[in-house]
Amino acid sequence: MKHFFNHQISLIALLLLILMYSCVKDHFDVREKFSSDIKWNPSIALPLAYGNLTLGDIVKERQDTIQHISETELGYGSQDTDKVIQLRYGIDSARKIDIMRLPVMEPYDTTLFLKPIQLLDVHTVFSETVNDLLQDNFSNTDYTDYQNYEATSPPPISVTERIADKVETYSSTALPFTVIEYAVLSEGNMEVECINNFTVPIMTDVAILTDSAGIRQEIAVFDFSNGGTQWIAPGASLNDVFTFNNTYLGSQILYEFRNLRFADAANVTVDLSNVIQLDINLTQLKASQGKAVVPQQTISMDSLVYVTIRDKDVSKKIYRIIIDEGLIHYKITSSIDVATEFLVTFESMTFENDTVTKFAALNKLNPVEEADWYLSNHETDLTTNPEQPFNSIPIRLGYKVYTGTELMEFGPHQNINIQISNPDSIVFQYLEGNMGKIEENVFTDTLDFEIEDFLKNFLSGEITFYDPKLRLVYSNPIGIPGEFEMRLVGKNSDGDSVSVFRDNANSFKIHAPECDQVRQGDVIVSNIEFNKNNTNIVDFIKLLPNKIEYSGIYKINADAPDENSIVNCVSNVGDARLTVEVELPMKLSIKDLVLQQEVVLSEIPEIENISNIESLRLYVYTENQLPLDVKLTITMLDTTLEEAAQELGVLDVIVLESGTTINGKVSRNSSNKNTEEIILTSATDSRLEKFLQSNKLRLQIKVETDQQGDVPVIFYTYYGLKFNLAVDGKFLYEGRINMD
Amino acid sequence: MKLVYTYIIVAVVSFWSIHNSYAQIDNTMYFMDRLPQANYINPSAYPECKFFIGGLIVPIVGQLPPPITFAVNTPLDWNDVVFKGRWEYSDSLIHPLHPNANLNDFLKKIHTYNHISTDFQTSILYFGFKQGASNFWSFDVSNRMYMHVGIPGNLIKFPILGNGELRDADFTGLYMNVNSYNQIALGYKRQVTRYFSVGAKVKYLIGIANVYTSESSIALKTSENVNHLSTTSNYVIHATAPLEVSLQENGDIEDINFVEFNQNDISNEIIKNAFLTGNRGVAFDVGFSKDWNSEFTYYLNIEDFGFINWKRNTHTLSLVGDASNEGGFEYKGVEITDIDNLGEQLAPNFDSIITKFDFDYSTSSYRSPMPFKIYGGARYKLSPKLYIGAVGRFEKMSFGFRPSAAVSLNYRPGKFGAFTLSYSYLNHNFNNIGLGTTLRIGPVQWYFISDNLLGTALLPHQSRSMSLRMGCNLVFGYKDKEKPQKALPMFNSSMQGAGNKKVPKFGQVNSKKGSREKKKYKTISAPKN
Repeated sequence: MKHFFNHQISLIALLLLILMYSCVKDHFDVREKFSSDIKWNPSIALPLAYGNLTLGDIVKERQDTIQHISETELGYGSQDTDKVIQLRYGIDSARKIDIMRLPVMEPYDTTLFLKPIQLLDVHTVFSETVNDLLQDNFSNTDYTDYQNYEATSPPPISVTERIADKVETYSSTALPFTVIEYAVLSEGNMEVECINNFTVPIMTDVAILTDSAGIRQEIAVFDFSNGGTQWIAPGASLNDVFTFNNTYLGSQILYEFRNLRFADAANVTVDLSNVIQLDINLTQLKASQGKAVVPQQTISMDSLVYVTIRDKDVSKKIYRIIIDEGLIHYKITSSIDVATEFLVTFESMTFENDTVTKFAALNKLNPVEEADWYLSNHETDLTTNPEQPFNSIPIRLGYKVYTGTELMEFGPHQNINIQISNPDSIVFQYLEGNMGKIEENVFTDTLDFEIEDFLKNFLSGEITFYDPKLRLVYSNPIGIPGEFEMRLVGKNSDGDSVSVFRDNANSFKIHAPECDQVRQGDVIVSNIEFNKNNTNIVDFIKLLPNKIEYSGIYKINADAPDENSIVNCVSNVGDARLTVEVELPMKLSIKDLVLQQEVVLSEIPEIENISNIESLRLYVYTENQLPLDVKLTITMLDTTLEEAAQELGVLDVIVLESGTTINGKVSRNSSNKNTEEIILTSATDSRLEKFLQSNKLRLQIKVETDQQGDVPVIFYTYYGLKFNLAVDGKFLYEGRINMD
Repeated sequence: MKLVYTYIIVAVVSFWSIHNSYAQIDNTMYFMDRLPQANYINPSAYPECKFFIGGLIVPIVGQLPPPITFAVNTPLDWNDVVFKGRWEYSDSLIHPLHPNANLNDFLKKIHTYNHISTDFQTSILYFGFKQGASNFWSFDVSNRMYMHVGIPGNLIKFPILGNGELRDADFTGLYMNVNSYNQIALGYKRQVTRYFSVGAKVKYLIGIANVYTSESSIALKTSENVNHLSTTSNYVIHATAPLEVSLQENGDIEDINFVEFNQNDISNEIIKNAFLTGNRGVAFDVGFSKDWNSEFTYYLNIEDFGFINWKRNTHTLSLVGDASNEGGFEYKGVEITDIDNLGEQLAPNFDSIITKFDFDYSTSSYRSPMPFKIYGGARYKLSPKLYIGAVGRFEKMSFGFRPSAAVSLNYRPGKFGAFTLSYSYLNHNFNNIGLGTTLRIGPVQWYFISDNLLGTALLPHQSRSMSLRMGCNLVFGYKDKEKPQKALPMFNSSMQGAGNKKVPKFGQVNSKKGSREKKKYKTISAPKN
């Protein structure tokens, strides 16, 4: 029995072992039998977003574009701490107002002929002995007698009067005038002094002659005898002056003693070696022609020439300019050999209080000279021309002559031709004048105003701003008052247009600084405000233009009673600055504003993998102070279907309910609480299935201010918006476990 | 009758083995009182010998086989996670999230607290001796290590069900406790009276390494309607390990490195880090056994009631609080602060959520309690060689108790050994069959106890645990027969008489011819003392 029992146990155990082994192997055969399908059906609840914002947090102050302005400042209320959102858009442009065209100089061309040139003074002394004079001019008897006198004296003797009976012409022994070969003297003096160094008084006339190509030419006779009545005492002299007047002078001087007499004299010592001298001075010589050494001198034209500086239109009278920089171009052609430099004196132009003279080098080897004169900070008076007291610059031309030690020919046929022009390069720094009464187009432009930057995805609707302002701030640096006529037209994408100034004045006075202020670069600011009372700006903004055409015409001197008395000034120191500011306080109404955006669901991969949503709940909780009703409409689309069938269904969610306004204002302690819950269950609601079917969502947000947008509301920074968004759902995810 | 018992046993083993096999921890050994190692869990249980010795350092017997204990326990088995499908998937293996699976069946197997535990012990030296008639002393040096990992049920359910369904997800019970220590224990048992004995053991503990989660409370709440997510935390985890932690200025951990050991003095390093660690503790085992009558005995004891103080190489990370003090986070969705860059704001910044968890770090010392166990059992003698026992066990885990119960059949055929078959309730499951045996040849006693041997070997896919205890002792002066009790029964028995009137043995009739009659003996209860 015991034996049998033991065998039984063993048998049963063996059977069990066999059975269990096969079972075990199956349970671990993962490689062959494991099914990696997975079905995950979780219930997920997530908060989406929350916030506790004020409007001031949402629309933060930004320099120059978004402002928080106290309601007292805007006149909407009396609480200084209640601030209103104000949008500001500014266009700021600085430009040099090109009222005046750059002045140009009329080209000037003239030829200067050689004027009489100053020559060097000449001085010479001639001496003749009495012996020579007696021998040459008296008879032999007189000569012999005087020889006897000489022989017998000393002691002093008496002599008798003798009269010459011929005339001898004496010449200089050497060329006295090394500096003049010949000259036709138009001016100058010849002073001759006759000096009696003999012991006997003499009486004589002296004739000065010159040699002209071998022909003696008398220059002048000096009547020292005074008609035969005047003696030159021993040791004394007599002088006389002759003035040249187109007198020819050669390089040699000859002289004659005419009507020479020796007087009776007693008790004299006769020495025939005594001399009679002629001291000759030639001074202040000017020659119109000749060949001589010319000392350095400047020869200027006697008369002024007036060069015209004008504006391009020849319509403005310029009285005075300060040239900032520029060039005057010149071309000089000279045949005056003795000329070394040409010069132009701008009589009414100064530089650092000095009259401006410009020079051009001349060279007889290079008779043509062409270059530029540079002008900078040159102040010019254009009113000195008696015939035309504007636009004229007087200039005096001249040239320098100089030959050094060289003898050069010169003559009135020689000339200098000068051409002066301004290649339109002059930039003026300051200008005074009479600009006349003209109209100038200051700017014309079109502004593409991207309304989408402010209202993304705008579809339709009406926004009315009740208190917009457009402000022009013009900083005027030019001393030209006038009127500014402006045109401002807005156009929207539908082609509608609204003019800001329709039925309203569009001209505005522009103030100008005085000329002293202009020179300093000071500006006068003119403020022009366009608001709902004086323009059509409300309708303009309401149009929501995407294009703004604006232009401005400046009517110069529009208010001047007498055109001739106008004095305007312009400088390039100051910049004209025009600022256009648009201010939009957020006092507005919104009616049926619809914003639309499409979201492509297939681009969100997480949604692709969800095969089924069994239920979905969207929860929105808001505490709202904003005076806005916001409704969200979600349209589910399947773009794979025909267009007519693409819309699968619609979900409506009221996101916000407007706070209650009193006179457009929601009080600080009031807000609207709203809870929205959308529950979609696949078993009971086909919208869930359609949501899963859709591959695109069209989101439309409809916004209206309080009372369907029929009354204006004001947006204060303290308006609060508290919200919580949450979603939960039961999802079904089917897939496979990645066994790799 | 024996055959009936045998068939019942085999059937039970077969039936339950096909479906489930679960582990038990030492429940099999509880009534193996011939085994000195039973004293580990029952201080009032001592072998009936005069002297025993065992341990790794004992030559030959300490190594063949080495005295080790190893156990692994998991809350789920392979078959809970990968199993055969139904209908068209009957030939396939599926998982709980498979379309063919019944998810609820899987979720029912997930309890509030689910524990994974690993235990390892090795006895270095273990000996005991009898002193006089009433006293027994024991001395034990062993190395122990255990690792307990707790997985809160919500941690498994949460990702499956989602926070829409589990709005109050409590992840309390996510913990890890690892303890490695040396134990030097001195045990004493005294037979107070004939029927009553007490036992106690005092243990000196030397901590080597430790991870201890003293607080583990994390809750994730999803509020109604607005679905705000918030966490609160009370999480403190300690560790003792040769690590160097460098901190940033704000107190965050920058880097963690192992301490460099002095390679030129390995022996000192081992002594310093494995023996003279400075981390000391104490634990107690206390218990008693009481004979209700000659057949019925009950026991009660507590094991490993104590702690270890960790002082050296300690590191503590704590996360306490909620979003208000960076002990947690609160997520209400993306906070919209302005409408500029709205697209960027809509992207949730998970980094910012993670950085909200500000762990505090410190190196202060701490105390880790030992996971004590309370045993309560009773044994009934069916025959001199056959006992039936029942034991209940409550193990103190970091979170809650882990209860288990077992009934066992203990068979002592003779002096050469004993066998124990047990059936346990563990981890909310009634199907666990364990087997233990001791074999003695001369003074050499081998023991081999394997919880769930059949399940592990034959039905691994349905095994939630595996354990093994084995070793060898030298036992001397072994008393394998009970002396006939001359005074029977112990209390107020009608069988009691004066003089030398022979009282028959249990089951023995006073018959001259020797034929055995089966008589029923009236069992008389002992007075309450």
